[in-house]
Amino acid sequence: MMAHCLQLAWAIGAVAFVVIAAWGLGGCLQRWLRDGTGLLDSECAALRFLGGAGLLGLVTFLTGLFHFSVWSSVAILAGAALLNVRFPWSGHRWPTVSSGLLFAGAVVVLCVIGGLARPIGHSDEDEISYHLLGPPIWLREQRIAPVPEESLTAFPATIEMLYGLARVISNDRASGALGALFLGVLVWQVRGLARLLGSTVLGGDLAAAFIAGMPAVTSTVDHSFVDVPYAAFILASARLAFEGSRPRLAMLAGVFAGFALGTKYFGMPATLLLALLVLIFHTGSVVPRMKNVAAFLVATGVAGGAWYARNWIVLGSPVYPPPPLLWHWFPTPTFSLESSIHLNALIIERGVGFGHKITDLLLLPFRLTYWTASFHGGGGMGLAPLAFGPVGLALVWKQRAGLAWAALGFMLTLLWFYSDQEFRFLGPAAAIYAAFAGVGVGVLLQQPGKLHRWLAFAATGISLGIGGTHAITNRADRLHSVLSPACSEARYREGVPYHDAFEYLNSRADVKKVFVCQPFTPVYYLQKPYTVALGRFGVQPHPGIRSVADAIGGVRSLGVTHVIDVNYFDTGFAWPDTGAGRLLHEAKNVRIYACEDAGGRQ
Amino acid sequence: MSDKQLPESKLRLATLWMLAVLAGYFVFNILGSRTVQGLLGK
Repeated sequence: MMAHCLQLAWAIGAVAFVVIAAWGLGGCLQRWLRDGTGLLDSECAALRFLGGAGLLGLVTFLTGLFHFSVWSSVAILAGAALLNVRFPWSGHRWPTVSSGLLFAGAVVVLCVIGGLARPIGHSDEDEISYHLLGPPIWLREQRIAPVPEESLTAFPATIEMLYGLARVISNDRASGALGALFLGVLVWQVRGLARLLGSTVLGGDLAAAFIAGMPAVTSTVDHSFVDVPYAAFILASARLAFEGSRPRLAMLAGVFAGFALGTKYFGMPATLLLALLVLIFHTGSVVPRMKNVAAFLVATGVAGGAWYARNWIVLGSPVYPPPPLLWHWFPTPTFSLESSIHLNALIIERGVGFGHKITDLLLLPFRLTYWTASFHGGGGMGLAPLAFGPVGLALVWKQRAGLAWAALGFMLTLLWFYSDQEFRFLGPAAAIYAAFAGVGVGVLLQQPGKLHRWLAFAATGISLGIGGTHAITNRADRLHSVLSPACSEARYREGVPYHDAFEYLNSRADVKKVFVCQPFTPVYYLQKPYTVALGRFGVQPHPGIRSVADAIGGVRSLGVTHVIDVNYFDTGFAWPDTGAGRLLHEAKNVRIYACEDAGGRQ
Repeated sequence: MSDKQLPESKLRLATLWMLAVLAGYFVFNILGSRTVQGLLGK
């Protein structure tokens, strides 16, 4: 019990440290955020934290290219925190608490608590396969670099840097809670956007509740994913880009777009889209508009380009793993064209979603609302966007800001629809839908008469009921495991594949380096140095070794002392039973061998 | 917009729209749910 509580306390302390550091660094942007913008105080505070988080991720990455350790992490966090030691709430007017804000706050708190659960799952869980894979390996290597055999660790990782900081100064419980805090940021942003578009105070608060009550947004927010922070960056960038036609605002918008670019590859098309909308919706003649676009793009490149430069220099392609078309321009030695085509096919297969025909597009609003079982039981978006969004849109589309936001929401939806239809990737557009819904419901609730008000209450109640129920049921086991040490232990043992084998390898001092036969083995749980013959999606880290059979004779020369082989989905074991090592441990679907040379020495 | 009054025709349209959305929810997510289908013996 005591150990469990101490772990939680360490994780919460680490999250608080990262938040204070992000807040401190965000102070650099504070003056620009306040200067002549119409941001609400709460929105300004959210953007300050968000900008600080982006800067903290960038600073950690740039310093980590040369050195990464527990002490360097503490130094970065302390330095950032000391930049502004004022308490977060001083000088800000906070809004009056309403039922909408209470609902949103309750969901955020639930998600943060759920985020304190230990990460579990197989290698098909993104946080296990790559989001959280880096930090322990960076600590071993003393620098931040992509994990050679896991190509997806080369993705831009601004937010994973924060997860890494929190993780290395505490434990594996910190990153989920830290990720969930970004839902709180998005909630303030959506509320501010609804108010900007002209909603009532009640409408703004309900918009905040609608985004917090969207299962599509909240379902993975405490899984150390980066979709919600990404949505927050895009929304912040658009908020500043549409705020006025001054180059300084365009530049600040570009900084946030750069952080989005440094969080997901989706940031590339989204940034181009934002640049196009800056060109269209900024006032003045063509030359100042072009200057604003240039300022926006330069700032984007500065804030987000480092990841792409690193990939280009280290791995051979700015986008890694490169898609087939890009591979012809940037052929990468460790990731073949064949692997690229294979990965692309997988992404296309996964991203089919609701289909790509025009009829699918027309049916999209209804499917996103009613097809709640889609996307692995993603839970849909609730009723509010469909019930109130069109009303909100009809009210504001004649205003310049309303039209700009509607255009952005529509184009982001099109981008999602024609690319990778994974529900959580729709986050930035969903935030805009929620804001429009807030505008609509706010106006409807103040009209005289009863029927429409009852209907608005019913749609709001059902929408938030779906979201609230989903927020609890979706993470019931996580919540339970945070509150109960016994449940936490049972969940970990049940949820970690090959648990005993990893425990065996991690606990033995003679295990120096492990050869992992099956590319889909969840090496996140392995605390020892390791290597593979072939990574997930076909990465070949060792020239000349294309399979386990190629590696059998040469593993000793790679410094390998032990081999782990798993029977993944009944594909069978890859390591031969005889002649290549001594069987040390065997359990269901997993074997561990000791590598021996001809003399029988390990 | 905080004191915005909608014309009667637009308010009626918005009311009908909300009614349709709620009806859709009733059809797809209540009648269409496995629990209800199980109760109905389908």
